[in-house]
Amino acid sequence: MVSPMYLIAVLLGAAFLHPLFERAGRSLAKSVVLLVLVFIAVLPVSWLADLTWRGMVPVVFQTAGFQAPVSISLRVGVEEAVFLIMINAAALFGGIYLMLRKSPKWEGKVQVLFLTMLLGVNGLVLTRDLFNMFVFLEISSISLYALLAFTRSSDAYEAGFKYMVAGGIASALFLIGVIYLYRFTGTLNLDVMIAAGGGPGGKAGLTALFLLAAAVLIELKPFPANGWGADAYQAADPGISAMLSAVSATGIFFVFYKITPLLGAEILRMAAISGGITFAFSQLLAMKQVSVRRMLGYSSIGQIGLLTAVAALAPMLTPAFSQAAGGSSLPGGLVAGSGFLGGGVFPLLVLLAGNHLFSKAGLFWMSGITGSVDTGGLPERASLRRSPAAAGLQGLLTAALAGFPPFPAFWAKWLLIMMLVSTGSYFLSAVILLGSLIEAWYLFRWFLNCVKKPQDSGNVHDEEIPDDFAAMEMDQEMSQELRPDLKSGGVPVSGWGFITLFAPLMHGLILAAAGTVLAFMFFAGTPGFALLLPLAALALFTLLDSVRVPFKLQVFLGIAVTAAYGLMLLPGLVGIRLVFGLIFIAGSAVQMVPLVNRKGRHPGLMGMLTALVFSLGNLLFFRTSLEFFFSWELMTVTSFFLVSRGNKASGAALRYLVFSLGGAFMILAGLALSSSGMNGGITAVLMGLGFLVKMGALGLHIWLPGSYAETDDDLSTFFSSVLSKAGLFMLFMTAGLLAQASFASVLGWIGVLTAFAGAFLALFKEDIKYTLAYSSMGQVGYMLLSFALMSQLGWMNSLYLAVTHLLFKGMMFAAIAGVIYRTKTRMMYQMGGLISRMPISFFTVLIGIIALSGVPPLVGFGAKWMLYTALIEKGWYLQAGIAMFASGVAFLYLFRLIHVIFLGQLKDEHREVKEAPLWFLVPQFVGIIGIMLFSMFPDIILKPLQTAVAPFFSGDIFWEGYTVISTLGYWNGNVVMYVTMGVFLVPLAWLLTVQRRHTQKVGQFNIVYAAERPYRPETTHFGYNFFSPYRKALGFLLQPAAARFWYWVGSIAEVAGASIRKLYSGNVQTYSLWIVLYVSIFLLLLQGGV
Amino acid sequence: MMTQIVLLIGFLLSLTGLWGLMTRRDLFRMIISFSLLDTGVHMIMVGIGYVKNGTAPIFDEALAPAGAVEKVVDPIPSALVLTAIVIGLAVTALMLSYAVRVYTARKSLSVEAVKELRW
Amino acid sequence: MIKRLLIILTLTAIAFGFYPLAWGVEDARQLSPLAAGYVENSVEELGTSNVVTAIVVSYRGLDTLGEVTVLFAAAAGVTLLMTSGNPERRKKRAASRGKDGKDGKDGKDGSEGGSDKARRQGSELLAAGAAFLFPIIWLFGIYIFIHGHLTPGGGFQGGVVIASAVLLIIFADCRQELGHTVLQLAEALSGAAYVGVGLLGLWMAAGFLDPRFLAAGEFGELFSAGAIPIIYSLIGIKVGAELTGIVDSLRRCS
Repeated sequence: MVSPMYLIAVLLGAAFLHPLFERAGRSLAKSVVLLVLVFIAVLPVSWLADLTWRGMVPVVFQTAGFQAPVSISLRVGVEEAVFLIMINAAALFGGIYLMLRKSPKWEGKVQVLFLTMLLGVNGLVLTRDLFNMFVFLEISSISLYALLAFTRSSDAYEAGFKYMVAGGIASALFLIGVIYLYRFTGTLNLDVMIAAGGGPGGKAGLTALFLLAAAVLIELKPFPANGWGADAYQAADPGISAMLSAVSATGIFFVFYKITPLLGAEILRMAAISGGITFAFSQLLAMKQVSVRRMLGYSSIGQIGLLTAVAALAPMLTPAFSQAAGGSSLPGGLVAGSGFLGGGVFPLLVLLAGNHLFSKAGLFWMSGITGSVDTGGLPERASLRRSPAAAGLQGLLTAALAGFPPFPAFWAKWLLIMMLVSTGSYFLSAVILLGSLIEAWYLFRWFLNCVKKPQDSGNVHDEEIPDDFAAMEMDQEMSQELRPDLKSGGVPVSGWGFITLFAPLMHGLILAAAGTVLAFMFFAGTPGFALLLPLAALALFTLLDSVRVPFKLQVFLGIAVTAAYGLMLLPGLVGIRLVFGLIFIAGSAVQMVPLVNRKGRHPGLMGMLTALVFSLGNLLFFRTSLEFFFSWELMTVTSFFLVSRGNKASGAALRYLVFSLGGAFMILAGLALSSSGMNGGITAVLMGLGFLVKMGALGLHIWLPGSYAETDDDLSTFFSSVLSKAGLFMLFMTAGLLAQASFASVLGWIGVLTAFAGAFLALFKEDIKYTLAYSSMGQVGYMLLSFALMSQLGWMNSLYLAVTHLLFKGMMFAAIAGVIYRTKTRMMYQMGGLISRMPISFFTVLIGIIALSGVPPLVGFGAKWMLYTALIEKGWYLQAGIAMFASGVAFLYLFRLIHVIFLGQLKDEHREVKEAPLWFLVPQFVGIIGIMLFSMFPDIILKPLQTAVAPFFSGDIFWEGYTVISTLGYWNGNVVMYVTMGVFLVPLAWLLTVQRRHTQKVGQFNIVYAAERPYRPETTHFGYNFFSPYRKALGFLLQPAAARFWYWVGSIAEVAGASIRKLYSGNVQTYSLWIVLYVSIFLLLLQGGV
Repeated sequence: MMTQIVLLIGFLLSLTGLWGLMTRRDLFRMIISFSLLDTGVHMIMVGIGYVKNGTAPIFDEALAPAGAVEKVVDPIPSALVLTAIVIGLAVTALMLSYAVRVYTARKSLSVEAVKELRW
Repeated sequence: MIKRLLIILTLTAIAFGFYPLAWGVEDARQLSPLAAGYVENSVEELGTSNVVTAIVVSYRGLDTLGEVTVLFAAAAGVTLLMTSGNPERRKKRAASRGKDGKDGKDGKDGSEGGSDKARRQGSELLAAGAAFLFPIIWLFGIYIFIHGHLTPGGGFQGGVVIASAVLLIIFADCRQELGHTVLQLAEALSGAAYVGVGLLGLWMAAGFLDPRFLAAGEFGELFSAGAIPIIYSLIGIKVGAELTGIVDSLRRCS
């Protein structure tokens, strides 16, 4: 094994000789520094290779030719090697990042200080001597103090001064602690102290130990003694902030990890509490930040707090780990994963620390490259959207930091929550999950603000009625002036090539590679690693994007791989899983077709879409809860990125993300509780709520309309007709848990109220996509209601609705997408009379609304028949009544849909529109054929569904030819079809022939018809506010109670963040006070024996 | 007794330094307070190394290597304090430079001039 | 006022917390085994008269290398802070400051601005005394660091003494030019040589910074104790050069 002395010698030699190199030539000096950085990044890799593949034992290197404790020793073990690999890799790319920047200049002293800073951190990780630790700590701190001045701004000077004062106090405490430890133990060597049974006892001994720990903790910036840390992150150059967060903080954290065996239970408990508090409060603080780097800084502080807490809890968590490794009741994946790197808490720390280090440094660099100073976003000329590579990279790094699969933090989150829950730390688990949720919120909010389009105000959650032109222009000016942040900062996109993005790109690749390797480790034994297919698809399409493969070709390829995926996997499925498999895979493949119509390039779209479809597909054959959760989170993150592509979708996308993630965390908590042996109520509630969020059940639905509607028109259909059923599928899968009578009836009520609310809200929308979105919500409510019946007919109907909803909602969305594509508007009152221009679309919508509304003869009628039969069998009369009423309401909005868009008079600007392009029509044909088939011959679908639910329920219904017979009656699809057609066709013929001459044409802007005062000319149209009488009568029901509730929840968090902020007065003396207060409170608690 | 006196003075000096750090409004006075804190810590270190009736651990005519163990103070804290002093000096020099820079940037040496960054 | 009270309370609390440390430790009766080992073995192992030097330079040599690095980093930091990056901007700023300097407010920072209200030059007495003392102080400094293994003192002390001579010269004449090339060379080469000596220990003796790759020599002589005097001399040169650099960077002549 190569001696670590070379690491020190090379770093120091290069630093000392640097002025001479620089005299010989600037590029020589730069090359030397680069070589040194490469060397120190490679050296620990060779150590790890020695320690693992070559089977060496950890080596303690002595200095000065004497054995420790006489001399100072450096230890190279797996822990040191792994941490140094991570730290020095970040340092290498950090150096490259700084080198590639033009301003401020990467000049002599800065390079020197960079090297000495690295020497300090490397020494901190390696040394086993407490006083030597102090020396290395000072080397790294002083170098960082000086590097803060790199930007030469007055803010940087201020931050540097504050940082030095805080660091000085910490150093003093460290020294006092060390010297007393020497007095009490007679040594400065960590190994000797640990071998002697940990730290010294007694009040004085405990105090000395605590001072040592407190100094390290202060360097890790605990709440509330960390204002100076946030200042430093904010004021430093992004390249330096990245090093502060990734290199320095990680190194100092390793010191804490190293001294934990010394500290004893009481101090560790305090460190854990301090870490947990720091994590939670930092997230609240980060939420309110305007400065990007301060926000990232608080996030770093929080993450380091989390690491501290986990390291401090190691004694408690280790037994849980070994139990898991020994193969208890925990899920299979967990057992496989916990064995890696020797088990224990250490792997968890590596995952958390590594994930944070790489992603945070990458994000700091991104903020520097893009010039994003303000969390409010970037000016249009510098918008990230203009550089798909940069946007993708920032998305990747953000997703990694937020802990989405496959990145390391995802596995860490899983392991951590499982472990914490199994040891009964429910409160800490909840704090961690809540904090992570807040973190994801503000990180993605920043991401969305960076990529959003100029017309996106960022808070679109409901339809926006466009004003006339004058008002529009004024509005834009206003908003420009109101948002000065949009003007500040930002580097024009022009120069963001591979070179500029090199450093964050490398970190992104490292994270992705690490995540993939981890997935292989955790899923070892899964046949074919099919779970990784979504990632493979994403990688494939990213590759295709980067070589500029035309988008149309990508769509065909996407359809092909989806079909191949389906053919490969669907035959292996049976029963309910097969039903959903058809919905997810076949449904998606068909609905990809309209994408062919798109022009131009759409980087990332097909990758995300196929990844989404595959992760949905993977949900079908999960066996362990980890496999399920992996696919579930993957589905969430890919669909989020799809929503975020919409023109005004940033606000909706953020809501979608937060609600989905919140739901996922509830599911995670439920899984952890159930795997730790806790059964019954709480588990079912948590998991059920998680699934209901995904379905958009009433109260949890406020993310739904925006994200369905603001997504690109040709993508909305995936969300409505495919994705919304993922939650339903999981309800079926966990039905055993939810089957208890009380839960079922609660679910039933939620379902019926969702159905009613969806229909009712759809009624008053002008924006056609919002109408369809709320309509989807209502339909899912029916599915939930049917599911909750927990009977044969109920379940069959739920599945039946899922399949038919896919058909009619898919084709209606396709038709409407075609209409919007041609008319360039989403407002129904701006359309009209399109029947003559787009007859096929009209026919599709006609079939769609008949099928949806449940009138004979189409499939919807069968669904209603089954639903009411099942409800009455169950005795849920009230629910049946509400469901009936909701159907009536649904009929109203459907009537409006077809009437306002296709009937009436054609608008002037639409005289020339053509039928939707062929690609939009393909899914419509498929849908129509499917609906006709199922309507005529219900047994084609109902018999398989009956078989699917047979393992659970049987016996209530029988067949006679095409006639299905229940206890309450029968339904013959054929007869219904013939009768209805007759009933419908005869009056139609009469209308068209006899009554034709009585028709009177009404002027297009005939306001008498609308009976409304025309206060805005563009809305003076009979289609505007179509159901105003109903609104007047029932408008009180439209009160956005749910939205208000969630707004209130959000406000509480914001208010909490705002009030905590008051602690950070900016005064360095106050900060000193917090530090001393922090130390004295914990010290007195400790001495008091708490 | 000697140790306790030195330690007590050292701690008092440190606390005085902390007090100054938290109450003096002038940056240079804060730096002086920081030096006081540092000096106090150094005294504590030296005090810890004291052995009753010991002399400096340097061999010369008065102190032969043989049997010196009984007669000298602990050399380790002395060695450590040497390092600590130099480090303290380095930090102080850097702090002073920062103070100068803050002054040129904000035209004031008051602590009130360094609270732009907050919340 | 509340803040003042809080400060008093906090300090009282921390004083209370420190109490077991301040009052709970008696005079030591004997050395710790580790320290006793140093006292007993250093003469035999390293051949130094000064046990503290043996610890500083050899046993805990890594600390000392780190200490030199701290000083080096601080000197680099002071230079970085006190000199502006862009020479053109510096010139411009100096020019504007020269104008501002007239109202006397900004005189403190105008190193290049030749203001009329120049600070009083050092007196003739000081100038003559400094010129006379300078070589003597240097000699004394050099004596201190090359005898570091025999007498109290060593590289740091010697280096500080040397830098103080430069400070004296600067007091006498603020505009005294220093030989920057020499300073830079001395600083860089002595540092690199220190690292090199450390590596020699790794290759030729038992470990990094082991001074025993040179013969121990006769106890009490100047050329004894292996490489310790060499190391201390290098440290002395480096510390002297670095502190001189700091003094140079921090000076503000008006």
